[in-house]
Amino acid sequence: MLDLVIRNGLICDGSGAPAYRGDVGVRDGRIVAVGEVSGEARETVDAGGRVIAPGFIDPHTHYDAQLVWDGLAQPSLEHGVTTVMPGNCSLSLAPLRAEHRDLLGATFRKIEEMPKNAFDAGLTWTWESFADYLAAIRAGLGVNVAPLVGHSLVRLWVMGLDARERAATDAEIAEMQRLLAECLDAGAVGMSGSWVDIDHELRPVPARLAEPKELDALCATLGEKGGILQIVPEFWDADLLCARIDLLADLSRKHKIATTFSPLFDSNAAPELVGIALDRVRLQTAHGARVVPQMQTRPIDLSFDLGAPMSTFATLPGWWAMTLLPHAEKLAQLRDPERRAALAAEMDHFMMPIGLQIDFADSYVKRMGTPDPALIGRRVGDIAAERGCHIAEAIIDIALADDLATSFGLDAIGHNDDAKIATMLADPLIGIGAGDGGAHVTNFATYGDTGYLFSRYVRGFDAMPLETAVRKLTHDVAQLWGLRQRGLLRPGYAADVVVFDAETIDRGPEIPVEDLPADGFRYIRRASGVDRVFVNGALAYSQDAGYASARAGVIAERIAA
Amino acid sequence: MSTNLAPIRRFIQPESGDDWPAIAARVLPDEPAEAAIEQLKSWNLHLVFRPVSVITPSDIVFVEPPRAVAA
Repeated sequence: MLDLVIRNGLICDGSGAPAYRGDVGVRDGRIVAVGEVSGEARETVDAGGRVIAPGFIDPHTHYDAQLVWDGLAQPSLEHGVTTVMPGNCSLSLAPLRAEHRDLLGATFRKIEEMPKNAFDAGLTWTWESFADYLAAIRAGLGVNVAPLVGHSLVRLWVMGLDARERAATDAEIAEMQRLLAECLDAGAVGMSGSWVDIDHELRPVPARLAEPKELDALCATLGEKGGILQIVPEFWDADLLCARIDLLADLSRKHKIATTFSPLFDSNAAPELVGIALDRVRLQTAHGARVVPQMQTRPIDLSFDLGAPMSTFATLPGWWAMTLLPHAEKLAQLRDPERRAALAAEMDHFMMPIGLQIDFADSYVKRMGTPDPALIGRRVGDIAAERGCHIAEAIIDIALADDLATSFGLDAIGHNDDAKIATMLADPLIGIGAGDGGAHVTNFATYGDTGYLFSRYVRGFDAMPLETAVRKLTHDVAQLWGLRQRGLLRPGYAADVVVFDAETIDRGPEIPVEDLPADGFRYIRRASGVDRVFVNGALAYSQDAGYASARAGVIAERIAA
Repeated sequence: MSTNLAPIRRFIQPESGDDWPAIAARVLPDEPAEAAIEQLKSWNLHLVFRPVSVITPSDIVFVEPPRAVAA
């Protein structure tokens, strides 16, 4: 007898093959039959003609912290995501010695933009090793996790605080290789790095202090163990990005590893960039390299406030420094005429950060601690004109009157040429990813890119057929990352299954919720059109009943070298 | 399979402890020191205009100017 049969669906099996009417049978958490499935089952689900597809796989998340208190990785799971990859961009939460927790915590919160209160309240550090971190999250998992180990963490473990200061010795590199192998044996699917990130003290993250021979040695270990290399390059500059693609291609060929970089981002400031980068990837692929860019589906929307340092202020050092001050001191500075004038002057002459086109006059009052109907939704430039003040002063005064609780929005400031992105997303060499789930929680909602792929680019632009979109979210990712028996509806494969309506699947509007530890606030998006999500054969989410109590998620195995 | 692809723009990666004078002396040995440093910086504004001006061993240092965009 089967445990579960999902009948009367449109089977989209993840391979990209044409969809067909059929059923899916499940036993012991595995798919045992696909097509016309006979026999009895303990539970029968009528898909009602909806799509039955493999669960989606999200290759770029920062759920490392959230998984400690929320093994469902909400709200990704309700969008059909059944496997997440945390640990991107050189930052995981293990291996980490106890004496480095404060340092790593500050770095992680700065780069991934997480509120300190939620981070501190939600994290109970019970681990040092990578294996112990996985043990700490394993029991509560409602989604599958295919974790990366961060290069910065590997360095910090082996070199201590010197990891922030200098290159490694040959002996230290050998020890890093041993440690990386240990993490891979414990369940890591690869290693992540960064060529761009800076920590809370504006210093390069430890991974950036590595000489090329260190990264080469670690990639040799990845090659021996069958792990992937993920890295974040200078994605806003075509020449730099192409140089990085060449470096990744060399590492891929030499060590026979898959590499992926994120994001490939369509910058309005450099619209030719994605085409140049894709040409380079195409050339290197033709020469035997495996370098896969990850592109997000959604346009860039940002929110900012004056409560904490945010990427919006990355090229505004005075604003950045101001947001770091204690609350009372910050209020005093924001009222000081000289300081206000300096902040206004800085805003007049700032450099656009990372290819985004930001005009603070176009920001709008998005959310307030004490809502003022006369301000909510209004453009800051209009408010400033009405008040006869500088836009910087308008932002400051609105925030001051609201005890700095006001959140300002900036919409469609990059990656928003839909027609161009439709073409890019359809390219076989470009992967869907770079979503950043679990990060930047008060800056933008990183959720629902999967639904948006279908609503905007399958139904809207007709950029690719349904089957291709499913393949790009499932089998393509599983194959690149070497996940064992995931990403396809095939007998023997894990029963990670999503049932959705192809005509309505979408992301909902961005909404504020207070579901982080310590009543922490974040922006999320709810799903629509996703009927049911199964993880390893167990119902994890349904549109009617919400999240289920099952915790059937596992640490996803990779295919060993 | 050939891997000798010409780069889009020639670059090096710094050696540990490198600064502008050291890199300039190595990659532009025939230029006067100050001129070589200024030349190099002008090709690498991504390193010059950083929040904290440090050069790391993983950086890209271009050793030629940007190529002209084809008309």
